[in-house]
Amino acid sequence: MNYRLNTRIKLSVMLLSMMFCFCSYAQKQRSAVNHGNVATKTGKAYRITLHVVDDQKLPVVLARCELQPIGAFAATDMNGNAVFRDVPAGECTLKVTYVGMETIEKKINVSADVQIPLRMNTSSLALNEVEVVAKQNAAGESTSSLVTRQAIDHLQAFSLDDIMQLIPGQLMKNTDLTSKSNLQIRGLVNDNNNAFGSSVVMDGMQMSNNGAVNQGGFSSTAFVGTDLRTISADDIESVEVIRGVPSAEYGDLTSGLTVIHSRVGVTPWQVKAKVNPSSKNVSIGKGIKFRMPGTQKMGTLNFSFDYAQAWGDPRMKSNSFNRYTGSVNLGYDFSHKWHTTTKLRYNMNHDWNGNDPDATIEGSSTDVKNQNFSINHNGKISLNKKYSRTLSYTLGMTMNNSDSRYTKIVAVSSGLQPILTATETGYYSVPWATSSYRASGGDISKPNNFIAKLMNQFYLKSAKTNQSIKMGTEYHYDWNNARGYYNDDEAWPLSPNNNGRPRAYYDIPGLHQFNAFIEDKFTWNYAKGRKLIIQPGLRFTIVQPFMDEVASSLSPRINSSIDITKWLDLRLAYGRNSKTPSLDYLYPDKKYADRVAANYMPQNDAAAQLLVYNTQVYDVKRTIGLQNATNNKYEIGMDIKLPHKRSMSIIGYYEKTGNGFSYEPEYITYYSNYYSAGKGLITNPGQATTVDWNNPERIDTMFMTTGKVGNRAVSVNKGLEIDFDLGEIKSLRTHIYLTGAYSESKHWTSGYSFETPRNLPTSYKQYNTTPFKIAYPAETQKSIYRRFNTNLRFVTHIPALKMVASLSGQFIWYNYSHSTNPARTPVGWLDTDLTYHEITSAMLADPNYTIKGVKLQDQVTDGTDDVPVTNPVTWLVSGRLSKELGTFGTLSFYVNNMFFYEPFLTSSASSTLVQRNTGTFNFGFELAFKL
Amino acid sequence: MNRRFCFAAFLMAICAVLGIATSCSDDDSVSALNITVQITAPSNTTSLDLSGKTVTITGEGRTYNGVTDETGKAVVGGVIPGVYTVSTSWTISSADYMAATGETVQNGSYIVGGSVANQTFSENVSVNVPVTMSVKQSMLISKVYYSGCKDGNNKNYLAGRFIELYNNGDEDVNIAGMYIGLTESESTPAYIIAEHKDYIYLKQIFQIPADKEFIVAPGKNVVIVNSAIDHTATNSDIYNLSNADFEAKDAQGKTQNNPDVTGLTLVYTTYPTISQMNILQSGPSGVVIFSTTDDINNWETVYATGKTKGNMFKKTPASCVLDGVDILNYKSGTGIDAATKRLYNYIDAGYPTLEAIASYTGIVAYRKVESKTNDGRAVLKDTNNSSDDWAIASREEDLQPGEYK
Repeated sequence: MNYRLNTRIKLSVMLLSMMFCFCSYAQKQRSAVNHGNVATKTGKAYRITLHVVDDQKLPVVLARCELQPIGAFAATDMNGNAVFRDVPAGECTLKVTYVGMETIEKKINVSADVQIPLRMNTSSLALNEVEVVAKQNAAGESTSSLVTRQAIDHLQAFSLDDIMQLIPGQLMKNTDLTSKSNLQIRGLVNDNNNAFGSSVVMDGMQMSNNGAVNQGGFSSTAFVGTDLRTISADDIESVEVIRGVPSAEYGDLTSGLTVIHSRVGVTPWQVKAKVNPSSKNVSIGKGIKFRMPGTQKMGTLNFSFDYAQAWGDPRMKSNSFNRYTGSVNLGYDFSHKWHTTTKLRYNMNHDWNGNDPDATIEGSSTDVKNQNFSINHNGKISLNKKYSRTLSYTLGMTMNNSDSRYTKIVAVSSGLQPILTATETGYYSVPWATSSYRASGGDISKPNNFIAKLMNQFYLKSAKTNQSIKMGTEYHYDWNNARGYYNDDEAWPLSPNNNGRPRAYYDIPGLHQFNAFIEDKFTWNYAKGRKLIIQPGLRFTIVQPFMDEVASSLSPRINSSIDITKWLDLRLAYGRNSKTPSLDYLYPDKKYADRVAANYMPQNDAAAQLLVYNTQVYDVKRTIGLQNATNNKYEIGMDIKLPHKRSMSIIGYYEKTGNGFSYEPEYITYYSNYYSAGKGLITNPGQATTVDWNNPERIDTMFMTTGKVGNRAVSVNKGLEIDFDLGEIKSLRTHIYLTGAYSESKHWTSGYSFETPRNLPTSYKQYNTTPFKIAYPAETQKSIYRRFNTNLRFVTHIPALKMVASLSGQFIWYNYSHSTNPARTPVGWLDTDLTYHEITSAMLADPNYTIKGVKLQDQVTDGTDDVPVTNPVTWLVSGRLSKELGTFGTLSFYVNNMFFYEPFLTSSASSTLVQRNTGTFNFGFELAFKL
Repeated sequence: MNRRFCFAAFLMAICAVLGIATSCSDDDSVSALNITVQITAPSNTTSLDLSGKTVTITGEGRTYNGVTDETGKAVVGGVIPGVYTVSTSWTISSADYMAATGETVQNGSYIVGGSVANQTFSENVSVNVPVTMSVKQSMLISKVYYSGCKDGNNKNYLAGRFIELYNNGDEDVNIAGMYIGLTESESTPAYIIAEHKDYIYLKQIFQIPADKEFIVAPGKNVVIVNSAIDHTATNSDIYNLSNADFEAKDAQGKTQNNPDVTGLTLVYTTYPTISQMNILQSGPSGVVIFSTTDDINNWETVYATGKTKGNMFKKTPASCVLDGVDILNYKSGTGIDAATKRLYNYIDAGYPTLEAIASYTGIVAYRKVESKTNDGRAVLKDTNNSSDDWAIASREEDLQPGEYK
């Protein structure tokens, strides 16, 4: 491990050095190079002054101004002025953004000091251009989709979860706040590794899920990832979903990244209310500007409050969700060079489910309160130095408090429930329950994290080339110092089995993660109007350095594009992404195995009754040798510009995570004795029964998994995404968009799977023992999913009426699922002394070969692939309408599955008619006021 | 007049033609057939007496009988051509059975019978009727409490499930060594009875200990349980089973077993974690009792038909089954699917009729009383068709073990 780590560190240092040398070399080679703030021998540097006003000609304060590709940043002051100093000659793209305003993006040719007046228009449906669908990014950058505020409004999104349906390949869905929802990028089924590796960055701060600890580990019901429904949509200005290879600036992810920008800047009072049959959401927000007394320094202050409430089924009050979010965003310039934003956010989510008060009171309920407080501070300092044009930093801390309370009646259906509470190996006389009992308890988890990030940007420029370089370092610390899961009364546990032992999190160490990255965006304008962009990057991640459980990874990434012709861009990308293990994976809970050792229950002699259990405990303590889950992503695509502003973008991707987190099939064996009235128990009527420990009736040898976490989950996603802008039918004022994807997801486990041999004699089955474990190659059993779906959107926009209506038709043309189970031949067996023996072809060829009396031939299984299931074409249509009411408000309405198309259709594998599109019909209404 | 004459002549001509036509068919007149019926004894018998047995040919609304000679052959005359079923059935004593087969058996009498269906007789033919022997059952399955119930907290409680056997004959029966089998209960039946005529698939087999006699007197019952305790402590509506005769002992430490109650021997179980009787609360919960001198461990263990993975079952010769009841799964909305029957008609031609989902309702399936002897002993109905023989008692009816109606 240390050798591997050292090699990685050396390799990363070498690569980072090489990259830096390349930059320096490029700089030296070009005599006509401009850098930063220094006018070089032949080049000059200029000053660009912007004057930004709004549509009422009032200055816009703290508008974000960027100059690409040189990566310069400035913010407007109280007079709406912003200055870029030392800008080299040549063509640049100026981008000015401000909350509630249409973004300005224009090309400027810098050849002298220049003052540019800019007028920003308030976003409105009265403007000619509206963006109510996700917008594909330009070639040369990570493949991503940008969803603007206008699109979020038109969608009437309650949370980030709703917004995701605008991304190509995703399906339309109804708002459901009552169940947790994670991010599955380019995956067709819920996959914990995909969700765990999907990162959400909110206002520069990554929402870490490394500190979460779940009872039950890889339980299929355990929620993994960031819960998207907790992020309210009303405070979001824009969302960028990066499906492709992200910039080296971003790490700790495998499958993808969502970058959220909140609303910062001066806004009017904004009150919104939306409702649909199961959910309600109200929010209020306002952004003001202020001047620091006695100075010329300006700032903006935004605050918002959002409340959402949902019932799972409005007819049954058995499932509810409440969300409260309050945030304060402070934008402040300490000087014209130092621009900062500071955000405080408090969010509380309250899930409750239990019995409908009107229904039979059974007494089970789950009450989960999740509170989250975060503070983060982002700063940009325009240093304008040779190798440091802009210095950015982020300092952030998030504190979570998840308090879950459970009450339930624990069923004892088989008539005897041992109350198992031992936490050390041994034989224990245990109490028992003979009928169901009420139990209560909970889980207090406090996953907290701290993030510090520093990034330096500068550029190197010549006549035809430009290099925009980012380099930085990032530190994350995650910890979870909490009570963990507990029972109110340990004598009556919530889960009286081997998965229900309490665990406090106080002993779990914190997780240190260090990152370093460098990226060079190289642009070569090789012909007029055409360019080649190559953006190589490298990121190094190390978690728990100098500890036994250290894990590190090196992530090279490259995005590139070339304008072949004026109408055709090609893009090519490769990237490796790594996700560090969470606390749960590095420090898993102890593993418990409980086995009955005596069960003596004379019915007329209560004093003599005795129940003895053997508890075996294995503590992995820390998972040594665990690697970061690594995803390799390849992309090829093209963007075609067609006449009349039509365009087509087609992207093919292939990505494989070969070492996702999963349990390791690591075994121990132990002896477990059984004592009966016939042998081993000393019984005296009317007196307590005792055990003659050295005289068992049976000694069973038991296998037990250690609970160690490994890297054996494999997933492959591949597919083709399309994003077509089919242009506008002017006479109908209707724009047509077609998005869609053909996707395939495959999941399997690598290595061996150890199983209990088939056709064991009843003497083993009776006592649930096995003479050995038999190994099969695990990777033959795969889950395969394929889907081809498209979404055709007609957007009718009538500026004169300040109205936009959209009709979305979603077609699922092809929907396939298949679980493979081909013929399997055992490859080895694990004896009770844990020695592994290979099974040779000669053994397999011998029909009478036995292993410990068990016939080997019985362990060879024929292929019994489940039949692949394909479903017939289904479609549904949704309609949305937004209408601005003067300048003070907006009214929106939507209907999902507006034709109420819920057909009964068969699948290819069954003649049973199954209703499709169920639960897709819904409608809702939103009213927003600007005061 | 002429016209009338002509019309009459015309009618007469038609009649004549028709008369000729019918007389033509009379010329090809139906002649009664002589059908030779040959009874053949099962291959495992050496000296089964086949003489003097009645054979019956039924069909087309007619019935013909004949009596066999010493070779087992009967010639039945006067059979009008048609489609018929040929059958025969008679009873032998256990002594005759043992003499015929050389097997040692416990029970009183046996039914020897066989039938061949859908025979088209258009000429004098010989029909071969192979017979099998099944027990004229003294020991019958008389109750299956499979549904479970709710406890005081409205939670599922399954520990009180039991099977009851009953001596329906006139003689004492020694049931030592008898087997109790539970039919497989896959959601799709693991075998199709039309294709596996000679075998049933059992998921669990228990044996009544063979080391000592266990005599059941006529009219007496045997209660076989998973947990021989007083379950009324959990739910006063259910049973006190502390006086049960046999208990399937639990090896997992999740059930109270009564050390005073004799344990059943677990001979085969599909599931490595279930050593008790895995009676399903919602069905299918088919139960058979059978007897054999074979070593069951030598019987084949098989996957469901067409599968090579999943649960494995003991392929059990249907010929050793003494009695069976096929309790099927009741599905909400669609009711019972008779296509999921596991038992052949000669074991159980029907199934107890449910009108609701059984799970946790406390209902018990029971065999009805057909008559009572002079001394008041109940004689239970045994036509090998549980649709007729069995009924369902609700929890409120409180039908206890040992009670019959």
